This record gives sequence, structure tokens and C-alpha cells, in this order.
Amino acid sequence: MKRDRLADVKFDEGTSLWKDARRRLFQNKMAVFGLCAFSLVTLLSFVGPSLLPYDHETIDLPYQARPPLSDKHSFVCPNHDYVHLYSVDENCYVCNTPLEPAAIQPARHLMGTDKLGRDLCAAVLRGGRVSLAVGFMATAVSLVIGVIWGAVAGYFGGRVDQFLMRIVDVLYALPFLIFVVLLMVMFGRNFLLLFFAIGFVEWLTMSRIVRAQVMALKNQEFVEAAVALGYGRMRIIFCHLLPNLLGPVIIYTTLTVPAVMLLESVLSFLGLGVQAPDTSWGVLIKQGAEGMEDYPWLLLFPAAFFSLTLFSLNFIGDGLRDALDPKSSKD
Amino acid sequence: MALIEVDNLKTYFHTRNGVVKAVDDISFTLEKGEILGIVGESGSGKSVTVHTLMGLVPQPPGRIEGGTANFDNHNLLTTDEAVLRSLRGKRISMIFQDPMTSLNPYLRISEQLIEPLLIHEQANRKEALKRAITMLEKVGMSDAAKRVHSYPHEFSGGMRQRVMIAMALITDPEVLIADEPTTALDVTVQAQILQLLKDLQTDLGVSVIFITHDLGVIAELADRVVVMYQGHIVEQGDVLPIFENPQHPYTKGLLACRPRLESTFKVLPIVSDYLDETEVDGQIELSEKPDAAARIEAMQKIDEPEIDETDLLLEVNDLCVHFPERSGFFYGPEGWVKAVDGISFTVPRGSTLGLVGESGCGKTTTGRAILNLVVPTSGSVKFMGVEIAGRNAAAMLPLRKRMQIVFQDPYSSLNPRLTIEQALTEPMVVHGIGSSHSDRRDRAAALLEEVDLEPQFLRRYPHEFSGGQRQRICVARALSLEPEFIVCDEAVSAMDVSVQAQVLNLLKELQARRNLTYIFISHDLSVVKFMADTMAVMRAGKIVEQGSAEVIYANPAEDYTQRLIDAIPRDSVGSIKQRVT
Amino acid sequence: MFRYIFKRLIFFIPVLWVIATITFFMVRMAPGDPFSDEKEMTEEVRDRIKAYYGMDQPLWKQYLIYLGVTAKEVNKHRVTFASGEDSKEYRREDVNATLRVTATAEVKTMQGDTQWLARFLDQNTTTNISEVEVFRLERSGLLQGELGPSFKHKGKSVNDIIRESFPKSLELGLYSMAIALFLGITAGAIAALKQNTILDYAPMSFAMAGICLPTFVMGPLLVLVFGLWLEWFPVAGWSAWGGEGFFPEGWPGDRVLPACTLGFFYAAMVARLTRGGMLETLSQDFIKTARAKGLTETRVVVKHALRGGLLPTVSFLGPAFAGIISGSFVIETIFTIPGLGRHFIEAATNRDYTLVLGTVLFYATLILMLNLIVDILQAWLNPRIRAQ
Repeated sequence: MKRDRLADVKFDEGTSLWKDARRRLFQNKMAVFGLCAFSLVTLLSFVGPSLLPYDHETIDLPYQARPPLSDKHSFVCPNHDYVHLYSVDENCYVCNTPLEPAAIQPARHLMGTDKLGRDLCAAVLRGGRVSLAVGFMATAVSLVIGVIWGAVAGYFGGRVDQFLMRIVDVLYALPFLIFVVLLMVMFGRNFLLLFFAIGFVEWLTMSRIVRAQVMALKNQEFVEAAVALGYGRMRIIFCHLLPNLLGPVIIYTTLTVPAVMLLESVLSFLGLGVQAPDTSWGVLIKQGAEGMEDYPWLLLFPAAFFSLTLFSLNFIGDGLRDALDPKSSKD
Repeated sequence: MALIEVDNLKTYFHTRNGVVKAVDDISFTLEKGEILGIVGESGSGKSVTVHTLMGLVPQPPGRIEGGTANFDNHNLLTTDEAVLRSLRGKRISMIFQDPMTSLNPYLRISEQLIEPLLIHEQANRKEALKRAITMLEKVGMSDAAKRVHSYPHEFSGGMRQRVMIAMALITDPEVLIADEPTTALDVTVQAQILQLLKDLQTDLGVSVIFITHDLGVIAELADRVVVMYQGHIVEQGDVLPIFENPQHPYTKGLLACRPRLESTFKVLPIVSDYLDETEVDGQIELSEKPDAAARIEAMQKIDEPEIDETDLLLEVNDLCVHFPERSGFFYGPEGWVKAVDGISFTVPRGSTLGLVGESGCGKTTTGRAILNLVVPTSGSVKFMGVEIAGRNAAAMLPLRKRMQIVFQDPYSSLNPRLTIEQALTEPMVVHGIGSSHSDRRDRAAALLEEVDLEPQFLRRYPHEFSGGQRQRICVARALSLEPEFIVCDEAVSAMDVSVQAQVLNLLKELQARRNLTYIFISHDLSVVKFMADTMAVMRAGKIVEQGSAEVIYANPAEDYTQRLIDAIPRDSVGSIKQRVT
Repeated sequence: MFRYIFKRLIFFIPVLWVIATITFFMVRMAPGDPFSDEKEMTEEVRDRIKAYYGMDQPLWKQYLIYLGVTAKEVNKHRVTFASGEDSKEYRREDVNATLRVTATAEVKTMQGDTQWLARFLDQNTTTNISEVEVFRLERSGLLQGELGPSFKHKGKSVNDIIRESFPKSLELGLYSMAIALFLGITAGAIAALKQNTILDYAPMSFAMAGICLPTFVMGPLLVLVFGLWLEWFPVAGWSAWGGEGFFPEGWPGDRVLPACTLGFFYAAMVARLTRGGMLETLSQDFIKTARAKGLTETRVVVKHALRGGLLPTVSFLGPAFAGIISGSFVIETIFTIPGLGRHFIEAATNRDYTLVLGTVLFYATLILMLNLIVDILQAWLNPRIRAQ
């Protein structure tokens, strides 16, 4: 009988905080731009290489050190039979007579090639795959450690908290990058080590954020009400604390990814990160920087992709912060 | 001759969700040497009004849409910034609501006190400091010469408010604007500050605009009153006629809905008993409901249930809760804070025990300790004759169903990520109440109706409700387990009086209907007087006096109780008459 | 206050000890050793060199020696006695001592104040020829402030190397920090005061760009534009003061690009933090009080808001210092500056154990000290922290 009564009721559909945040996020132009750009870069990095005719190791000999979209001219010297595949000078280097153009082949390297004639586009996309993978994997490592550490410290409080946070304080004071460098140098550069080394650096801030959030939540009256209502500890943690923790964690995670990618590229730049035949944006930027006077595109393209990714991730992070921050969502 | 003359002032806020007419076409004057009280509930625009006069409304989003405010041939609304600055802090001073945040925590108070003198009177520092010390002594700070160099955090809230007052009055201004200066303070401190303001006002001849939500404070202090509601002035005039014979239905409602020590209401009247709001073409029209008095009279005819004094639901004996103080990792606590220090009382079934005291007296901890939300250090708590103090979570579980709590802050006591339906059905799931999902939802709907909310709200989220509605939801959640005993911990303290009246009525009604037993914790003696059958006065972790509420109010045995009662602003027509004439 | 600083300083000891221990064993457990690269070295020579550096000892003993707890045997040399010979006398030039060693493994100090010891290595009973090792016991390790000899830089101790190269890194770091703080605080404060105007958006876009253009992108780009194309500044190197510099006063122009590269990144971070902190502070009640007192907006900001607004920036200084140190690895690589950062990377690659350990400990001490200074600074800014 009662049910019939409720069946007639037209419920007001409430807007959950998530829905609200999503709306705000999509109103933020920079965040939407970031989302689009980031999705594009990710898609290109993971799908792109298989669509390109060259992979990043194939040497396309006639096209050595060509600028982006440059076609290939070959020249013939009227006095010799030499074919100059491409020529910087207009004269033959043997007899110094003007060269005659022999053939023009169409452009076939979107971003040009390096000194050996390897396709830069393939390398950039391939490098993106590595950089992004490191970024996400290492963030995942730091996320897991940081959330557990911070949540335990915040939830149990007292001595446990003091002990755990004192460790974090001590670790904070350490020159961590130095240890990462050491690890990478000493134990060879392998991927797994890279993930963990970087992950171990980045979890500290996460644990502090989570702890502060848990402490704040624990003093919220709804958590006390949950205890008073007789909810079990697991229910309180998973149904009441965790969902409310998610916002700050998501925000900080988005901001950790670029930080991690930065660290990876620093290592790669120092020659301590990813090793050939694998490549990453850091490696490419390093290689580009070495020959930038003659072949600036080798620096500009990887740098542009890398910076674009960092930009978009930071925009997304800022957008999420504005959207999810409880302070701005109140009223 | 009016000192400040405000005409047709309009301040709107242009937000993303549309225009908020915070102050909409109001006019009033401040005469020389008087105390003008502006009273209204939250959102009435009273604060925005004075912030506009001071040029402190952030623009954007705020915008002054029209009107004038004349002060000594300056129109405060249009005069240029430099002139306004030379008036601000020199001839018109202001003090704010929260003394804890209104002083700069990074600067010594000496530095802050002399600042107005330095910039407005070009005084030298030594001279200024001397005057600051004199002023501090005037506002009742002992040992001022020494304490003037302290930082704000070294003072209590009351002391900080005195510092604020000293800072505002140090330049000998003509107008003092006080924006809810006592709201954040304990009632005894409030009484002292009000007395101080009164004394200084007569002493210095300063005119005061006093903003408050509390009619009692107005009755105690003001010469004239402006009543604001939703950005409009609904009524203004001398204080006595307004209290004696209010004209506007809103004023009537506001005056009637406050629980007062002298009143004998069993059910509080509420504003909507007097006031009818109808929407005509997007404009809210206010009109008076006929026969309000008669209906309120009729409401009082309810039977209060008999209480069997021997049927004790709760017996608390020598309860202590001590917290360790600054305990380090390697060393033990430096000392113990005795939040609750050996208190005993009993609560008969179906009755209400009121627990009153000032902040920090241990009343909240007592409530938590009874429910085992904080573990008592020693002592016994017997619920229906069974010892429950110090039980672990598993052993408490069956009892959780029978004893519940409603908290002070309705904004933080609901999980913002759960719908109302989830919030109400979750306790039933945990305790195995209700046979199926839809059965529980039906029960939730019924609970909402019981607290006067619509069942269609079930799928909404807490942030889509007002404070009063949220508190009702909290009550409904507590009721979802059908408890016999509820601790109401400052449950109405954060509310406007009109909302407070509704919630108090609701709690009383539920008590009668369900034979509930309450412990009602509050700092407000009048509210406790309205709710409680017996009461206990707490101070520094101990009960100083307990007994029947009526008896204690009539004949307090302890000095402390007497002081608490004396501190309540005298708001009877008689006392106003005595004061004004 | 002094008690607090003292307590913190005491706390450094266990931290540094932990770091020393972890690093020591980590470095040692890594594959390879300082001499494995040198292919032409014979096994015997390698063993001799290892013995010279004390690497023939068990690891735990090497560790104790490194700490300076256990004494190590130095100036070790062998004395062979022919049959019938029972003592020999000779000079040790390096320690200015004249020794007489007997075949029964006894040292008689003849000159010089250090205690010499001798140990039988081999006593050939049939020919009656014996070999004695003569050495001195000396404690020289961390406890004595000695970081040991470098394995790769022959004849230099780690202390020497740090003394030589750190001032360069320090100079670079100071310039960068100055740029970061000056630009960052100015931009952040202006952006906060002019929120949602062009003066907010413009610096904040630059700050965003600064964060997303990391040093190793910014560096080469600056070099490309200002070094190679415009030729305003030298592209690399680190010339001495007073030489033929870019500026007349002898201030070398090769500081500009590295300092800017490193400084801009942190300027961006500082700008964002300052803006956030200022906005937070400006929204607080006591700012309203200050305005109600009739203060000019400038005074409100400078006297009342700046202090609180700078707190997040100040607490960022600790990580910023650490970041600038590690940032200097990259910068010193890009601009080929012979600073400590480059030595560290080289040392790690070459397995120069003592240099690696020494640099790590030096950096750790530096960062601990800087953190302490930052904390003191914070307490000075915020009386509520001071009270605790």
C-alpha cells in the first residue's frame, strides 16, 4: 500500500557533488582544452606509430638530416657522374661547377629526420609512449604508497601517526633525486626500477595530503554519526571516508603525472633514464639539444610535444581543483 | 540632526546564478549619540548594509545600484576612495563578528592598535603607544602596558574583542559600527562586552550602529531598531514600541518564536504563524495571517506526558573523561585535561535533561562519553540498568539502535556524497531493519514526512538543502533506528531563531509521540529552559548544580548559575521600559 | 629557540648516519667497481690498488673505517728480511719518519710521533727469510670530517673536490634563487591583487609556461636564441671572476643563461604559490579589519597581507633548494659548468665510491641545514608557530 504511494511520487533528482564537479570542469575552457590535447597526444602516442610507414629505427638513407616535410632533391654535376643526394652548396665539391638538379622526390617525413635519416615523427610518438607509460606507472606506485601511508597515519592518529609522519619528514629532507640518480646509475637502467625509483620520490606529498584530508574528515560530524549509528570500521572507511577523499587524491594525482614525467625526462636527459633502442621525450630532447644549431627541428618537436603534454595535464589538474574543491562547491 | 542618512540604498550581487538583491531599497538614519540596532536573520542583508556604508563590499560581484548615504556632507557611496579612507577608521570605525579571525595573527596588537593613529593623526609611535595602553585600560584589560606587546593568539576571544573595540575607538570616532560583535562569544562574556559598549558609548558620546540577529541584545542595548528581512526594512522605530506593539507580522513572528526565560509556551510560535509569503509576478509579497494569536493559543493545548521518576533510562555515576595533553612519541603526556571530571546524574524515561554551560565546560564530551564515542576514563554509565561505559564497538552495536545523537553542525553531519535516501536507509541496512530495499525506502519516506519534509526529496543530496532542513534530516536519520534515547548536542545552536523554533517544536513533538528521552546540550539557557524537565549546569568538567529546570531558574543556588542567568539579555518589555526611561 | 635549534641539530646526526649507511651499502652492492673499466690492468695490479684503498677488507669493516669508528692501516709497506738479517732501518719520506723494523715484527720509532705497527706476513722457516708488513693505524672517516680520497681523481681527496666545485654550484644556485624569488613573488603578488584582470592572466600564463617548459627544454632554447642566434651571451663554460667578462666589472656573462634557465622554472612555482597564498590571506577577516581602519590598499597589502601570503612560498623554499641542487645537475650538463653536480653524475657513472658518498652526504647536510633555516624563517614570520 505504502509502495503505491511512493510510486506516485516524482522524486527530485539531486545533483551529486560529482555531477556538479563535472559540470564545472566542462565549463572551464582551459581544462577542456587540456583534456582534448592530452587525449590527442595519448592517442597518437599509442596508435600513431603503427600508422606511420617508418618506425623510429629505420634509416631512410637519402633523407638524412632533413627538415620537416622537406622534399629530396638530387643533383648531378655536369663534369662527373656523381649524384649529390642533397646539397647545401650549389656547387660540386670536386670541381666547383654549378650543380644541375636531377630529380625531386616528394616529402615523406612529417617532422623531418635525424642525422642518420631516422624518422623523427616515429621517434617522438614512440618516445611519448614511453614517457606517458612511465608517468602513469610511477604515479600509480606513488599513489598506492602515499594513500595507504597517509590514510593509516590520519585514521589511527596518535603514535602511529607521529611515527609514520616523522619518517615522511625525514625523507622529505633527503636529496631524493640524488638517490634516484644513484639507483639508476648503479643498478642499470631498467623500466621497473625507473617506475619504483620515481614512485618512491613522489609519494611523500601524496601521503601528507591524504593524511590531512583524513584528519579533517575524521572530525567531521558525519563520521562521528556513523560511529554512533553503529557502522563497522570497514564501512566507515570505504563508504564514508574514501569517497570524500577521492577529490583531493584525483587532483593531486593529475598534478603528479607531469611531475613524474618531468623527473623521467631529467633522468633521460642526463643519460640515466631510458636506454636505446627505447626512447623517450627526454632522450629525444637531449639528442636534439646536441645538434640544435644545425637541426633545430630535432629539439623543437620533442620539446613541443613534451611541453604540450605538461601544459594539458596541468590545465586538467587546475580545472579539477577548481571543480572538486569543497570550498568553491559550498553554496 | 542625523549623523548618517541612508536613502533608497540598493546593493546587488551579480553572481553566475543571477542577481541577488542583498539590500533592496532601504532608508534609515543614525542620530547623534544613539545606538541603532539593526536586527535580522541570516540573509536579511543587515551585514551588507553596513559593509556598503564602509565601502567594504567587494566589487564585483557586488554593485551599489542606487541610493545615497550622507555623512557630514559626504555621500559615502560615491565619494572618492581617498576621502572615504580618511573617514574610515577615523570618524567611522567598525568591529566585526569573529574576534578570533579579525585581528592580524602575524602582528603584535600594539602594532595594530596604533596603526589608525599613525595614519590618520600622524602621531609619533611613542605617543600612539601611550594612547593605545590607555585605551586598553579603558576596555578593561588589566596590566595593559605589558600585554600590549602580545600577539592575538595569546588572548581569549572576549579579550580579543576588547582589543578590537579599543582599536576602533582609539581615534575617537563619531560612529561605531558593530557587526554582530558578541555572536561568537559565550553568554557571560557577551554580557561583559555589551556592558562595556554601553559604558563607552555614554563615555565617549559615540553613535553606534549595532547589528545582531539576537533581539535580546537589541532589547538590552538599542535606542532605536531597524528590522530587516530579505533585503528590505520591514519595520523601524524606537525600541520600546517595537517590542511592546510590533506592527509587521515578521517582527511579531520573530519576537514570538524566541524561547525566553519568562515565557510559558509549550509549543513555540513560528514566523509563518504570522507571516504569509506569496509570490506575485516573481516578487515576494508579505502579508499578515489572520488570527495568529488565537491559533497559537490553541497550539498550546497539548498534554505533556507523565514522567515516572523511578523509571530511570540512564544513570551516570562519577563519569570522568581525561585527555592526555601534548603527548610526545617517546615520552608520556605532560598532563591531563580533565574534560569531564566526576559527574553523576540520572535521566528518567521520557524526560529531557538539559546540560548547560559555557564553551569548554565539558558538556559535549559528556554527551559523547555516554554514547561511548569517546571512551570514559572512569565511572559508570548504565543504560536501562546495564553498564555500558567502555564497551567495545561490537558490544555497543545492539545498543546503537537504542541510543542516538544529533550534532550541532548540520553542514558536516551528513556525508555530502550520499543521497538522503542512502543516508536514511544505511543505518537500517546495518542493523537489519526492513525486509527489502523498497521497504526501507518506504520507511525513509515516512521518516521524512515525520520531520515535515517531502518524500520527493529522497534522491537529493545534502548540499541542496538549507541548514534547518539538513538538521531535520539528521533527526530523521537518528530516528531511523527507532531509538529510545537521543543526545541533542547543540542541535539548534547554529540556526536562525525562526528555524530554531521549528526544530525545537519538532523535537518536542517527536518526544511526545515516540516517548523519547533526551539529553539536550546547549549553551543557551532559554532554549534549555524550553526543552528540559531537569537540568544540570556544568563548569570546568563538573556539575555545579542540578535539579528541576523551573526551580533552578527561579532560585539558583550557585553563584555561577546566577551569573549565567544574569548574563542573558533582559528583553522583557518591562526591563526595556526601565532602561529607556 | 636555541634549545629548538640545538634539538634539531642533534637530530641531524642519526639522519646523516642513516643516509651514510644506506648509500654506502647501496653503492657497494651495485655491480662493477671503480677499476673494472680499466681493461689493461692486470689482476695483480688491480688487487694491489684495491688493497691500497682498503677494499680488501670485509665490507662491514670498510664501513666502520669509512665512518671513522675503526682505524685503518695506512702507509702500508712490506719489509723483507734476508736470512740472518734481523733489523732494517729506513726513512719514510711521506710521513717524515725514520723507522727501524726488526724481523720479529717490531717497530722502533726513531723519529716522528705516530705509532707504527708491524705484522708477520710470511715466515719462511726453512730459509729463515721473513716478510713483515709495516703500517700505521689511523682513524680518518666521517667522524673526523674526512670524506676520503677520490678513486678516480688521483691525488685529490673528496674534500678537495667539493671545496673546488661547490662554490660554482652555489653561485649558480644563489643567482637562480634570487631570480626565482624576485620574479616569482612580484608576479604572484601582482596577480593576486589584480585578480581576474590582464595583470593576473598574463603573469600566470607565463608561470604556467615556466612550469611546463622544464629546464632542459628551456636551457637549449635559451642557448639557441640568445647564445647562437643573437650571440648576446656565451653558450657554455664558467670563467673566473675578474677576467674578460661580459660586463665591465668583470662579472662573467656566462652566468646569465644558466641562472635564468634554472631561475625561471622556480620563479614560475613561486609565482603560483604566492598568488594562492595572497588570495587566501586577502580573503581573511583581518584584512577587512585593516581596510576598515582606513589604510591605503598598499599598506593593507604590504603590512597585513604579505606576511601571511608569503608563508606557502617560504615553506616551499625547502623543496626549492633541494630542487635547485638537483636542477644544477641538468644545468651544469647543458652549460658544461664544472660544478659539484657534474662531479656527482660522473662519480656515480664511474663508481667513484668515496666521491659519490661524499657528495651525497654533503648535499644531505646542506639540505638539512636549509630546511632548518626555512623552519626558523617560518617561525619568525608566524608567531603561532613560534609559540609551539
